[in-house]
Amino acid sequence: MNEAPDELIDRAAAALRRRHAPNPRLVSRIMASVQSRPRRWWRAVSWPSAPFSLSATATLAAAGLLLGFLSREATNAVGHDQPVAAQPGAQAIPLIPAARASGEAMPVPVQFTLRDVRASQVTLVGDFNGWSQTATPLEPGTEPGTWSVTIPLSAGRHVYAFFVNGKWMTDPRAQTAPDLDFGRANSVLIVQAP
Amino acid sequence: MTLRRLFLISLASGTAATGVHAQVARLDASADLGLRRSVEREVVAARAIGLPEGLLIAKANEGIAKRATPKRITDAVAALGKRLQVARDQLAPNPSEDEIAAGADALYVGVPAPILKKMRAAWPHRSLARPLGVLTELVAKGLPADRAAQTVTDLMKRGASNVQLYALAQSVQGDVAAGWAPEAALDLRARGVMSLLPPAPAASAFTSPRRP
Amino acid sequence: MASRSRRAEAVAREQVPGGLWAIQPAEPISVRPSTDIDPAIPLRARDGDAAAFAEIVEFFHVRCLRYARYMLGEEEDAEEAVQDTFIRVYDHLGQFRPDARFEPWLFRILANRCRTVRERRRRRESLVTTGELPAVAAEAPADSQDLLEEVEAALEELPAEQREAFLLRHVEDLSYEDMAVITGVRLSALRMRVKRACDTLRTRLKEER
Repeated sequence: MNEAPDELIDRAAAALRRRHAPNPRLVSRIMASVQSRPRRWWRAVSWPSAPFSLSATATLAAAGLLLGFLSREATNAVGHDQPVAAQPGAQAIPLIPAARASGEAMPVPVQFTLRDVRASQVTLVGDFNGWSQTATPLEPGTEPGTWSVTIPLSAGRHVYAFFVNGKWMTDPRAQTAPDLDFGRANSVLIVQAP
Repeated sequence: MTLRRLFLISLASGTAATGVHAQVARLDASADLGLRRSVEREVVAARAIGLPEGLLIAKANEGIAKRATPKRITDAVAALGKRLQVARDQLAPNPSEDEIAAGADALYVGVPAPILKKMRAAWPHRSLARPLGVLTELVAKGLPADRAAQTVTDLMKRGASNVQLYALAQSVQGDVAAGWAPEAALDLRARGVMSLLPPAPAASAFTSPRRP
Repeated sequence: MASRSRRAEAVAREQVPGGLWAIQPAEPISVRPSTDIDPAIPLRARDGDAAAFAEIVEFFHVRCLRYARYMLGEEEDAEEAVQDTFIRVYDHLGQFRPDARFEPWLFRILANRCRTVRERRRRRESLVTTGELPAVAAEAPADSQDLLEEVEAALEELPAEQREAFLLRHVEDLSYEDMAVITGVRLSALRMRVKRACDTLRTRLKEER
């Protein structure tokens, strides 16, 4: 059974949720109190029973998580029909997204291009336009199947993709970046400051 | 200021709720009510603790564009919220929004949080947004985070500009695409940048000139 | 069960060409962001990984403290209940089944500890204590300050089982199925408690406006 939305209850709950912050003092007390307790739940396992150190297990835990991320990226990355060139397909004018307004140099024009004869509609989505599917359409070029748009981008690393006929597509001429959240790789571009 | 007042000013107001609705309105039109409500909760929480909530909307829109399920989108938005908070804590005090965003990206690819803290300690006044972007790209290309961070910070200590750091990242990108092992590429390119930088100051330099 | 049909629907959506938006449901899906820890971590803690146990404490202690504070009314009591909870988690991790979810298991221990502390100590009238409060980001206008005061006062006046149900559902974002595991109470009774709590809070909050 779904409960009907209730703004007053939601606001009240949100207020109650924000009331507390992390309490490192309490965490230290908890860890100190468990360290002196016998480990009653050791199970008989086949791996070595050498005593472990916190730093070693934390490193192993971090390595395990990272390996998990990297292997997930490898299995989920979108394949490319065309070889990846050293230069990305993007070359020109950047857009400055509200969330990433740079305090550094002026934005750099970056041109994004795509060649796809089957495309009837192409837009650009990326961290610079809030991944909006409609904000940045590409215009068809004089040669059939060519599309481009030039937008200003702040210097730095940007991730993006094309939306071709309503479908997600990475830039075939750009490097890819792993997508740990949704399992579909993005294209990545580094914009140099002028 | 009384403790009660301190406690009370943590509540999102009606004014803030208006701003939240404006943010959530930026969600793609295809987002259903359940997703909107989930994202709104995250936006409210982020806004209340001063995090850049626009990034959460962008993350949701990325998921929508990628046809992800609502659960996956809400999980991703929540995870980003946590990363933004960790990034802000590690880059304290007073990191810019750019730095918080860049720090969250670095955490996303697996850079451990303490590295952010160390970089902030080494450069309390320089913006770390661009160096963190370079670090993110190097780690995303397969370099161990410690190694990549050490290289970036060594170059920064020697006075490398952001332009030089970007050039390093672009070159490593190209080398890895051409089949180089990431560490070999980083080693080669870092030496190249280092050769252009002024030599490191001698360890026993005088701290102040002698008076004549 | 409603949750099973929602999961089946979610699976069907992922398999439809064209993705999620090819199906328009009759009613919107109630989606809550996942609040549980990565399931691998409690299992590593169970196998002796101290860093994994530390991660569990880091991940959950704020929510546990918040819940305990609202149930018990005193920061000191809340900290005691939370510390007891994690000690019990540590002692009984061997009983945590690999196929179970950690979050409701933890909250069941916490809810029980809170009941024990509450029975053992006298409750104060006000939920606001004179202890340290978390740092806050910005000032809120006067009307929102009033709302929070009213919410806390109204929460305190709820019967303990309604307060517990409200906190688990609306503040901790737990499902009714998880709440049933935590409290040992039937789903229908839990829904009624949440509804009554919300009705009381709504009436009380609207009266003041």
